[in-house]
Order: sequence, then C-alpha cells, then structure tokens
Amino acid sequence: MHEWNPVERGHGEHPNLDKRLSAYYGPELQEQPLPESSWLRVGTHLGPQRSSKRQRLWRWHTLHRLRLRPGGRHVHRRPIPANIRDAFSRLVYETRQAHPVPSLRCSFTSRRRAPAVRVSPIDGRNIRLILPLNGAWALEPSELDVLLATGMARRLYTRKPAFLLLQLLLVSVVLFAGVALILFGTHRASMLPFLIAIALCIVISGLRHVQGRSLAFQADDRVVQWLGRSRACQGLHALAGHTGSRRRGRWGEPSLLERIDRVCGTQVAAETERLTLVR
Amino acid sequence: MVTGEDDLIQRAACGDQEAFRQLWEAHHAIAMATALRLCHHRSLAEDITQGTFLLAWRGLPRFQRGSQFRPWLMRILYRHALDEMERHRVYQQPIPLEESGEFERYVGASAGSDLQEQIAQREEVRQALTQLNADQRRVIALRYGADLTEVDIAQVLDWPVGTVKSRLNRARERLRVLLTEERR
Repeated sequence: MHEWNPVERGHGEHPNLDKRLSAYYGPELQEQPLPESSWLRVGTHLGPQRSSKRQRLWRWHTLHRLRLRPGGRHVHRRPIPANIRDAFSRLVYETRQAHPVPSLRCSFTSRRRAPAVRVSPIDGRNIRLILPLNGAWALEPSELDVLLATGMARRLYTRKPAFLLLQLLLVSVVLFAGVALILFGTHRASMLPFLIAIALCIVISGLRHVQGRSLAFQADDRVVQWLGRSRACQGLHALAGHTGSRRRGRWGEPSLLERIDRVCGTQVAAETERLTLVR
Repeated sequence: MVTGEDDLIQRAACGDQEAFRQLWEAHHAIAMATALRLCHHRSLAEDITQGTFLLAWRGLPRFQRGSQFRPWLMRILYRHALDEMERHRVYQQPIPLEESGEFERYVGASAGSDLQEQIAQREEVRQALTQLNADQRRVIALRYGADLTEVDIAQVLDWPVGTVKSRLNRARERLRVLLTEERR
C-alpha cells in the first residue's frame, strides 16, 4: 500500500506550506495509458514534417511558391478533418443552402492562432476555413458551427449585386489610377486624373469598409436564425477565447467584441494571450 | 552509438509517422500522468498530452541529436500545460470528484474524516492559488506539481534562476498569508 501522507498531522493551526502544496498536487502518478482513439486524433493532425532550412528555401523558390502568401504566412493544405466535414454537411442540410451548394476548403497555417473563415466575392462557391496548425482539434462544436454558418451566410451576401458592384468599382478605379500614373510618367500628362482616381479610391474604400461591416452584421443575424441565439453566442464566446478578443477587427469587418455585443448583448473581458513557448 | 530511440527520432524527424507512433507508445502514458498531476482534469490532461505530441512532432527537426527524448518532451509538456491551464482558467474550477477518488487511492483513505479534511485542504489551496498572478502559479506548479528544482524551472520557463527564486518566494509568502487567513 502506498504510504504517502501529504498532510502531516499535529501541525496545529499552521501546517507546513510546502507539505500543503505537495498535497495539493499529490504524488507522482502511475503511467496513464490513453485509448487508441487518442493516438488517432494526434495522427490525423501530424501533417508534413518541416524540412531543413536549405530544403525550405529551395521549395520556396520552386514547388511551394503558390502557398506563400503576402506577409510570409505558410499555409498547409490538407484533407478536411472528419469532424469539420461532418459539421459542414449537417449545416448545409439544416440551413437548406440554395444551389450552387457551397463547398468547403480548409487550410492550416502556423502563423495564425485563431480560426477564421473567408469568402471570396469572385469565387462565391468556396468557403475557406483557416485553422491554426496546432489547434484545429481543439475547436468546440459550437465554435465550429458559428464559423461554418458565418461562412455560409457571408457567401450569400457577397453574391448580392450591390456588393459585387462596389468591388468592381474599386478594382476599376485602382486600374484607372494605375493607367493615369503611367501616362503621367511617360507622356507628362496631367496629374489631375490620377489625383481624382486616388480620391475615388479612398471614398470607395471607405464605402467598402462600411458595407463589409454591414454585411458581417447581416450575416450574423442569419447565423442567429440558423443556429439559435444561445448556440451562436456560445460559439462566438468560444472564438473569443481563442483570439483573445481584440478590440479592432480587420478592414471591412467588425471585431469579435462588436459581434458578441450585437448578437449576445454582452461583452467578454479581454484576455491576455499567452504564447506556447516551444523552441 | 545510435540507440533504437535515436533511430525512431531521426525517422520521425524526416516525417515517418509510424516511428512517431512508437515514440507516442513509449512516452504518452507518462506524459498523461504528468499532465494529470498538474491540472487535475482528465480531459484537459488528455488534450495537453495530445497537444504536446503535436508540438513535439513540429519540433523534431530541431531536436539535438544525442540528447534524451523524454526530458525534451517533458519541457514541451510543462510549457504547453501551463499555457493551457491558464487559458482554461483551471484553478477557478473545483477539482473533479473522480480526481479526488484518485487522490483517495494514493493517500490510502484510512479514515473517512481524514480524507474529507484533506480534500477540503486541497480546495483551500486551489482557492489561494487563484489569488496569485499567472507567473507565480507557473513556478508553484512546476515546483510542487512537477518536483522541478529552481534551475530546472528556469530552463523550462526560460527565466533567469534569480527571477525564479524571487517569484517562488513571493508566491510562497502570498500563499502563506492567504492560507493563514483562510484558517482564521
């Protein structure tokens, strides 16, 4: 029989602090084998092994150029984990998505610490789920539902003519500004068209920002309709736990705090994010 | 001399998942026991163990040849466990009953009232730990939950030894005050 007795009796009112702390953590435990399913969960998230610096440089120049995005974020494309695939299929069925049925793409990046969803206005069919490389398995079901439903809802709104028109206008004005700048540089043409284009760019970008936020809020309303307020709230709070609830969102997108405030009517306390110190 | 484990590590570092599975088989149970002792919550301990192995997989190409695998893995586990425990605010949750049962097995449970008192004392310590700051909780967890020396703690947390000592002393002092107040 194990004779370990953490609390020495007879210490009166002030038992030894070291003993009390040792008693709190208890003795060294015997080995705790985990079931096979535990390895399977690890195994499905192993991914390709990182290679040496030289190999990485070589790949950067040749095979994997397309995977590197501006800002040097390395994105891994891998099969969609089964739980995400199942949740997506269930949501597509439950929310009765109109044709063309959305498809899901999943990418894992080592630089992100919080999951996110992106919908491109050009490729309106695909919903892209971006997951942190080492935390994909930790997504709660409600969090996953909110992410996927948000993607589906935003996809609906990005296909509306008003949104597409503004996008098109922005691209046209940028092109126009480029042409005006080239003409100014080569033929000493008037600077006025370029300045007008820049001014238009600023105005349209501002409009795009307002429209993006409005779209996100409309999409959140749709998510609430689909999932119910309590589940949507639960998922948003879980997401806030991952991101550390930043005060400001990306350009054209509300922050998670604003979304929580609007959907749940409550804010979450900003939490200090801590890095996992693995070197 | 290349041992079997060195060979497994080299193969795993080159992407051999079967070799990594063998490393998992050899070390996961002790990693789980360590995580469970630190956090007292079985499901979180399992998540920590899995997360540790995923981090180890990513870190294997940088693993120094000839070093021992288990201490390296344990350093990853401690850092990851401490981060996860803070993220899940584990000290704010009571220790689950099943873990108290585990505790009962270890203390021997000679008398029911003794056990009740020991569980109550554990609860007092847990509540006192919530009053410390995160860094103080980290040193306390590594000192008493992992039995590390101050030098080892300094290595794990990448702090100077002096910082570890001062934080440990401040944490002890604060706990002594809190637990004394609790008793009154």
